[in-house]
Amino acid sequence: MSDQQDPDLQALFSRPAVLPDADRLQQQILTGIEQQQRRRGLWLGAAGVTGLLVPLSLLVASVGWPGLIAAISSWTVSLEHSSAGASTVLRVLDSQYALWAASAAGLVAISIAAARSVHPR
Amino acid sequence: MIPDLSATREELLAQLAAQGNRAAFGELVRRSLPAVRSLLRRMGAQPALADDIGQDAYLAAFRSIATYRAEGPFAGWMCRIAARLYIRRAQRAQRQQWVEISDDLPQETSDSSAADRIDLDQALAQLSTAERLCVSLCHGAGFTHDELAKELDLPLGTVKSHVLRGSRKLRARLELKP
Repeated sequence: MSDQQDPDLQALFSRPAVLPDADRLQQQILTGIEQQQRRRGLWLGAAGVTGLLVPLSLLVASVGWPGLIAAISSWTVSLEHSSAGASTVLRVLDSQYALWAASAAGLVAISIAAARSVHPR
Repeated sequence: MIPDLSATREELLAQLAAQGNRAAFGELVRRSLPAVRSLLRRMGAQPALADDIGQDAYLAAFRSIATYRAEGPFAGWMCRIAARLYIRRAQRAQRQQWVEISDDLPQETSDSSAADRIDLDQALAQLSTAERLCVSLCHGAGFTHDELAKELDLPLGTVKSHVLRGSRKLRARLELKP
């Protein structure tokens, strides 16, 4: 038997005392968890909105509303005329659409950061 | 209708809880809560503080339930989380001086082990705060001496002597044969 193993004492410690108000405390814990889940939902919602607004603001700041609308129209047209999925991806990533890709990446990064902040390991 | 989870394995309950199932986590709470509360009180926490830390421990556990590997009982995993929270709080409150030592003994029930528990809790109350803490963490939560030294920020030799002295005193008080 090592100096830190004591089966007699371990056996005594393994028998928990039955303490009062267990049901009340259990209910409080579950209520707290429900609130935690709700807060997490709010955080993720806020992160999603922020992740959408920030890239959009950057886009508007860089190309302006008329430029943005023109880019959307151009993108839609290019999608309509593309014959293959690969060419669509290339078109999206090409020149003026690089900004879109960067915005999407920013959105994903912000969402992941927000999710980690509310769900730490 | 609320499903009866009382016979469900802890591993499965933990998986369900990781998916956000509160009923499954509630069942894990029901099973482990007596052990967590008992340990915190045996470590020396006042009843109100013990319940407060217990709640925080379960909230933390729910956030990281996906890391529970079911290699041991859920209660053991919970006890270690709760013990660490108590240590952190006590260290913050008063560096190296363990505060709010309770003299309140847990209320007893009528089952056959009640007498043993009274003896254990009374005997624990006779130990020094450091001995009580080290003995409870070692025998009640399964911490090794090395882990205790790190958690308590104490030299390994000091931890070993607290555990050894505390265990001897407990055995003597409880009249356990060597």
